[in-house]
Amino acid sequence: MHVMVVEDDKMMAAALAKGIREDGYHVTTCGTAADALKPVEGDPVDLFLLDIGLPDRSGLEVLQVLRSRNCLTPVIILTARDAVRDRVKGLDAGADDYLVKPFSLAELLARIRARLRRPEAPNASILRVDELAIDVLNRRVMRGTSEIILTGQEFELLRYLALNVGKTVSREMIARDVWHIESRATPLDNVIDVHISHLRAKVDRGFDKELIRTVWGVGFALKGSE
Amino acid sequence: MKTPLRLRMFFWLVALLVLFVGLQFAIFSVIEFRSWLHRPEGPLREHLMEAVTGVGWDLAMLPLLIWVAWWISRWMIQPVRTITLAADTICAGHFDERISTGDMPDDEMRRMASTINAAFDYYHDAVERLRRFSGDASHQLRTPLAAMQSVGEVALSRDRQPEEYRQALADMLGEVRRMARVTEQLLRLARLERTEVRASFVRIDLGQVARRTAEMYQPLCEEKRVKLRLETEAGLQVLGHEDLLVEMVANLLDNALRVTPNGGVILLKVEQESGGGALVTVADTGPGIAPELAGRVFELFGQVPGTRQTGAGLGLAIVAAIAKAHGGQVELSTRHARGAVFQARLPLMPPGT
Repeated sequence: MHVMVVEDDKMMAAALAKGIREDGYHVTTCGTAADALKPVEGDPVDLFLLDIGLPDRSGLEVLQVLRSRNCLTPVIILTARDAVRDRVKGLDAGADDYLVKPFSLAELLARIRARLRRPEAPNASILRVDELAIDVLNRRVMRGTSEIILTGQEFELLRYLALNVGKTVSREMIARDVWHIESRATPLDNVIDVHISHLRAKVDRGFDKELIRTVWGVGFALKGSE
Repeated sequence: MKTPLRLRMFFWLVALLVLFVGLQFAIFSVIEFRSWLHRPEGPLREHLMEAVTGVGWDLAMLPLLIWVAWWISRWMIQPVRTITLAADTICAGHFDERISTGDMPDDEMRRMASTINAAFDYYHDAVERLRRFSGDASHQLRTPLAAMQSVGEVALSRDRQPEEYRQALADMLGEVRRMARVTEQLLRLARLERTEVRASFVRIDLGQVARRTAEMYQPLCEEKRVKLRLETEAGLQVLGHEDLLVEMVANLLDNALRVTPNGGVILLKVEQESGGGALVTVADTGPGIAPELAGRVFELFGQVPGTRQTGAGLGLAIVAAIAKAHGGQVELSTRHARGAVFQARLPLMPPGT
């Protein structure tokens, strides 16, 4: 899978490229609109990460040119502007997703995965991570042979971690996807941390293997055997 | 028509004078003519000459009258000159000056002066707030920056174990989060000032908002051994934005949790006021806030006394801004002896389908 990062800030571009590459993608970077629109030799681009504020032309124009060429490659816009107006403009121009700076790498990788996800058995009714089984339909959780009783919110949180199994999810992602709170100004960090610690107490206590991990400075991950 | 105001007034006065003299002459002539018709003694010409001498005096007085008119016009525009002068002084940088309206009669000019003064008050206030805001905001951003710099410099100052680097990077990311949060809050405040925010308003059940927020905060309260009591009246609906209202209640709960000691109680109550509005109350059993500080807690970067300095001091400013955007207001009730009681009043929507 080939991801093209169009971002003029060199440090940002290098960091993104490194992070995405380490998640298993082929990454190329470029810093101008002109370069982004050049025909790509070899491996065709499967996804664009497009910064809006490019030095030569706006990222939105790049997007419009791409779409006018009937190029349907998914595009995720990266921008520091997040007024609803800007968001609508970006999506109107044909963007598939819109990520506001600053964002966590975990979040970016999740969005990339969502865009490039191969059709696989979706909505499995039972999510399995090691000996943990999450029955989504009946909202029951088993670890090995013992049942774990969770509150509604804990269940949603665990389900979300299981859907992103092996991947780190940030607190912002949890706030948005589990609690449906879009505003990053809402004070939820402590709330999320305490839910995680309750969940961890129920899921991992008494077992040798720790499934719910804290990823320092980033967020949390549900991980089975590597 | 580029004639100055004072000249225009002067011309009008002179024109009135000339008209007056002309009218006088016409009336005198008619009177003389009629008396001549009645008793035709001597030639008509002599009679008319008397009318001419009658207005002759007027004409002799005319220069004096014109001079008076010139001064009257000056007197009439005097308030305008005063206002201009004062406004010039203010514009020159004396922002505390105001147009003195004390000796003006209660007329259009005084009202104009008051309006201009009010405009100056408004802008002076806005400039002051902006000045304070940029100072405070830079300070708020400088604190995490300083922390990041120290952590980074110390980490790189000599060779260390991987674990130490990891810790340093995690600490720096923590500071980044803090900065990101302050930035989000400042943006949120800036947006709430605009009226566009109301475009997305729909009918929202306040009880639902309170339940949803309380459910999120419940485990955190338990962790701190604080009892969260929720009392909601059913069917109270406002025109608003659910996320914003949740954010308002979340900030109030977050604030209450910071000041409430272990074993304390936080009350979250949604009820209908006797006045007809909706009342959202968040009361805690913390140390409370002194009445003289009550007005300042909603200010930007105003810290609630007694809290650990964990927040940037924007939470309650956001609460106030959200209440205001919903056509309501929030206040810190000081009637209560113990703990702080925050109350947001929001206009209710009539129950409908």
